[in-house]
Amino acid sequence: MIFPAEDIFLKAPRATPLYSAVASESEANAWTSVNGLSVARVMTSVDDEYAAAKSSAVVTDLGALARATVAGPDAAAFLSRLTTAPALQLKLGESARGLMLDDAGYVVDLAEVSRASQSLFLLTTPTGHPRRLQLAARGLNVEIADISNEVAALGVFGPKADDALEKAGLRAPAQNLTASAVQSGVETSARPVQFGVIPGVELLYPRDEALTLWQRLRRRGGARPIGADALEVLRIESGAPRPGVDFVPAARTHAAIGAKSARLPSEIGLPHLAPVNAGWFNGRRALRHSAGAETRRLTVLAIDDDRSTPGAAVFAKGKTVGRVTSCAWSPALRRVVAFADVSATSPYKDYEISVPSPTEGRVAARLLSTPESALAEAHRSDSA
Amino acid sequence: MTDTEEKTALRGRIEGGFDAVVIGANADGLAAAAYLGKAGLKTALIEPSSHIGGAVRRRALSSGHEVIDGEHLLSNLDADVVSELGLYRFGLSYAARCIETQYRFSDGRLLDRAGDWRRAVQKLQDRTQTAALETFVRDGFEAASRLRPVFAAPPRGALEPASARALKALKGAPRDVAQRLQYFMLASTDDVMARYGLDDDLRAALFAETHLYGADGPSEPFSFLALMRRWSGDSAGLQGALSFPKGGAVAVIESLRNAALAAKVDIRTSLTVDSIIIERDTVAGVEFADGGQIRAPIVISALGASRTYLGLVGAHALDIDFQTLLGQAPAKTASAQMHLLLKNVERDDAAKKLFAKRIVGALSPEQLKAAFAAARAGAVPEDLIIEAVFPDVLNDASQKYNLELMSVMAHPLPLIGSGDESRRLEMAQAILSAVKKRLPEFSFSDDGGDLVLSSDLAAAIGEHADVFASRPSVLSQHARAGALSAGAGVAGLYFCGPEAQIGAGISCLAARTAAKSALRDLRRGRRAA
Repeated sequence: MIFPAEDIFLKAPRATPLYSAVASESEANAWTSVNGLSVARVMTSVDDEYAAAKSSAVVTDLGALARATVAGPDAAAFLSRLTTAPALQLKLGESARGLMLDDAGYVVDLAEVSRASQSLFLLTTPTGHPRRLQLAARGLNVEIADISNEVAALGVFGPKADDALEKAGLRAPAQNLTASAVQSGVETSARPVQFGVIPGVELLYPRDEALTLWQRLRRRGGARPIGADALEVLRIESGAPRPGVDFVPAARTHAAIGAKSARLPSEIGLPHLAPVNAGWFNGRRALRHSAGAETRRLTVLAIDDDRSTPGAAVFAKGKTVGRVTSCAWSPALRRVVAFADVSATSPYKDYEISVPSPTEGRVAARLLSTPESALAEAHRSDSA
Repeated sequence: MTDTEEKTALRGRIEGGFDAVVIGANADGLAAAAYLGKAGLKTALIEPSSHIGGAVRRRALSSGHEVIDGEHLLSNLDADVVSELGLYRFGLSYAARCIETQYRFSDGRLLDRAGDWRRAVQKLQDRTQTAALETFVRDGFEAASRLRPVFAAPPRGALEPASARALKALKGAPRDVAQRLQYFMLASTDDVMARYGLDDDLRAALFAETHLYGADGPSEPFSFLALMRRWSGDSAGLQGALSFPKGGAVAVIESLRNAALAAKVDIRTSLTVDSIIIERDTVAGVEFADGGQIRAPIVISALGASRTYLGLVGAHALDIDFQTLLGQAPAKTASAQMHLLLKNVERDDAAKKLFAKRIVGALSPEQLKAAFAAARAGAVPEDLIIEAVFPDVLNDASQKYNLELMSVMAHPLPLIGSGDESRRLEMAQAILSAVKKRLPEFSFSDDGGDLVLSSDLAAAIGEHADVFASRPSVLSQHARAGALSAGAGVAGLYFCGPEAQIGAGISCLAARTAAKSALRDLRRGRRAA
């Protein structure tokens, strides 16, 4: 899952259930807030946390994401309508990613759906959408409960995530299926998730037990805590766009900025998450008619420089074609990786990026293939 | 075996070969089916009940008198529909083409108006008011003509707001006219009347014309557009006129039915559509309760919006924001019709002249505002706008009529369910009291009158009471009608239910728009294929 944009102007964020655990280990003591909740930006150093995520196991607090349970005979139909995730086709324990679209087919948010039982699902979104959920439920027999404040959410990522869980006496979800069980005395739901390119496991359990599993994973599992800044590098490398940063969610564009800022799934590089030939979902009819109507393209670029800034101009053949929306230094690639929102008619490969003062000028940038862009490409080939 | 029995005996099987299915045999459904049939499409018109005509129906009172529920006058049966479907050939005729109106004020004074407001100007005795009214009527009629596109049902897929259509209407207009139109679109009735310097009587008369059937009071912004919509209407070939079709509204339905039959429309009654079949976001026909189907690439629904989209398409297949539109709170007010039997009727010449008129009980601005405030709060107002006509008199030019029946429309009343007997009685008494105040020369039979609430009309056709609630501002209606006529994004699905129409009354404009959109899309599809 991906965090939404930070709350820039919030002065007094609330604590997540895992706040005290994270705070006690945050040497850098650098914080931000997401959805009104405190999130640690750096624990020790971004490079060390990034390296740990790539080579061993890291643990992070995912309590800032919005979560809801959806129960009832129409739960699958409801989620199939609300999101593009194929909830009706999910078997017990399976999870699927998707998008929330508005009626016109523009992206409102990302979504992840897990089937816990025949008629019980878990919906996770970067931002909460209580009103939208309420509206979408009309006429359907479902009960929706916002559990964001009820559960502690802990993510364990990295190639050795399963080892860390095992050492801590916790079971990883078998065969990539969500499993609910009493683990180390705590009723826990474990489900496979991805944060960027790094596969991992999300543990959900009652907030009163927040410290129990965190401590076990830290002391016995050896998982290292990771902050939001290191996760940001992993996110960009994976090609996962961040709502509110790399694109403006549709629900906000209509009210505040104007419909032109809204983006179609294909414009943010996620056409594979909204396949128009699969089941019905909200906005699909409009999406069918918008094929070929893309005006923008969100791409990941590798910039031949050691820094860049969001808002930096992107050039192609001497002309401005877009701007950088988010960027970070990638220790693995040894250059800056960035999301750039460019014109859909611009050439696909080679770009130049403006460099801020004092060394003003332009540096070369090239298109970076990511796991997400590979999925999008495969989807386009299949559709063609 | 009758035609209908023969056809309904075919239930339970899947029928192909149809080009279009229209659901609901009300005025709009009949008109839409007639348009499609006339264009050469093999069309089935499905009506869930055994009755043709929707809320318009002839009924016998316990006294034996026949009355017509639903409509008692026509103000805007679209002239294009009449000519394109050739309704005159199918029995439509007017018993009274331009009815004269007598306004009766709360202090007992009267104002007679010839059928046309432009002629009414010449009859005013107060010369100051003549000039003011002349200017107002001239400007009003010009604005109403120019704004006509705004009052038409928006075609499918045209999501431009009414204001955008109005701006198009303003194109090419002289600067002063454009400014005036813009003002008329935004202003309240109260503001406009005050600006033109009309006196209290004229204001009361025009308020009654504007706000009868409406949800907005005279001081609310955008409320003046309701009068412009009325004046843009064309009845019996006369702009802004009120007319009485020979045989009443039932005769209009009959002419539409004849037009549909002449166009070889297959009309099936007592057949309940269970769902609209949608395959890959495209309409594929309709399915009946017994599992039978009619397969067709075009479906037009003339039923209410909720019944069509929530009932026949299903909430699970609707876009979320579209569904929100269906759940919008209706106006809290409604109109009611009352059939009253008269006693001891004078039959002298003066009385006969009066019986040929439409009598409007007008309220002063203050009374009208109080009435709207009370009705919105759920109370029955102390006084009401009433519109009284004598259908039997209007219907019979030979004047060998029965002078015993009066049909009254009353407004504004709180919107209530049809089962609320105590509120019903309260409303009946309020209407009767308003009628007695304005028509003191009449005596009424002791049965208290036969009241038909808008919720009764809705219940009779299986719709929710909201369907016939008072109409909100024209701009709101336009926005909602535009969104609903888009058919929830399902290709081949069109909508011409009551919510697709701008304003009250039988217009058939929504049916014309839906049918023309369907035919246009069909031609485009064929070309693309």
